[in-house]
Amino acid sequence: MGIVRYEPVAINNVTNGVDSFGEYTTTITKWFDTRAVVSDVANNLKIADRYREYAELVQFRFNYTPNMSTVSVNQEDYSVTYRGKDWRITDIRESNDRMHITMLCYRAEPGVPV
Amino acid sequence: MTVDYLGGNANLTQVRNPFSYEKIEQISRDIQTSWLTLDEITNQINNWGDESQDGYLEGLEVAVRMAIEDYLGMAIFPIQYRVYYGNFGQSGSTVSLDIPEASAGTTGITVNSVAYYNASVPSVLTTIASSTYQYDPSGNKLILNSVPNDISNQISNPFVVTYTNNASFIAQYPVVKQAGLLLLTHLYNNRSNTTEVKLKEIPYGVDALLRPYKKLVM
Repeated sequence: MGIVRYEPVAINNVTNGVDSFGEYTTTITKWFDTRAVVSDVANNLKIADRYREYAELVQFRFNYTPNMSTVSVNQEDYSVTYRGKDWRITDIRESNDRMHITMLCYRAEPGVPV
Repeated sequence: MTVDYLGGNANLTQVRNPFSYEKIEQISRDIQTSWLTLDEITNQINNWGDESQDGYLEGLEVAVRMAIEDYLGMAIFPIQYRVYYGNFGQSGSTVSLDIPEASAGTTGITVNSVAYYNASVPSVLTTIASSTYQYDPSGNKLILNSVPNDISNQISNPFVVTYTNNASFIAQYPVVKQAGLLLLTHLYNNRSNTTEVKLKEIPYGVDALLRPYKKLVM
């Protein structure tokens, strides 16, 4: 058996608001550092018209803690920093024995000209 | 009915306990202070900066530390005992009182008091002056220079020694702390008394790491 792939990640608070010009804003502030078992890292490229769109998917498995339970209940209010980039949570599964929380996280690069 | 070949005596209590004490009580123990630090624990279980479970982990840490103290017969933090001894019936002579648990060295234990129940009715617990006894670390014994001559014949175990087993330096060995982290991880991951599948121990687990430090008990 290999070494379990724990990697450092950070859980962030995500706050959505509207600025004085009426534009939507997103504020991301770090809540705490932790570690997760990282698996199934998948990078995807889609060429749409004149742009390349990169999308990445990754699965994190965390210990079930009170903080992670809060993230699970309000997944829209949190994001994950992994490899220096911000990942949004698409799916969360709480294990039935309440020992782990598994998240599927997604991020997309802005479109790059082909 | 068969006769016991060791002499027809069905009661072998005295043979099984080669030490001079008859009863031991643990009367004080530290159940607050941490041995493994939260930093060590959260690194071990990969919670790291997630502090929301710290209270639970601190409780688990104390349980782990007590389990290792009990497993090794070693004090990681001071433990106070009260030990009872029978009536030696040797007034005026020198006797040795075996100490059940003792850390290494001359400062391994601190004798808090040595007392005996006197011959009065009702009997009174009488403290013996500290100048009349000494601790022998080479044999884990308390040497009482002169047995008092007014010891109660009615009290089952008239000699009472109260002592503190001081913290052992072995507790700070990295190998012992690693065994503590392994046990803590096991208890963190297994919070039920039952499992659906049979668990298997890893090589070089808690037993293997602690075995060199476990006293041989005859």
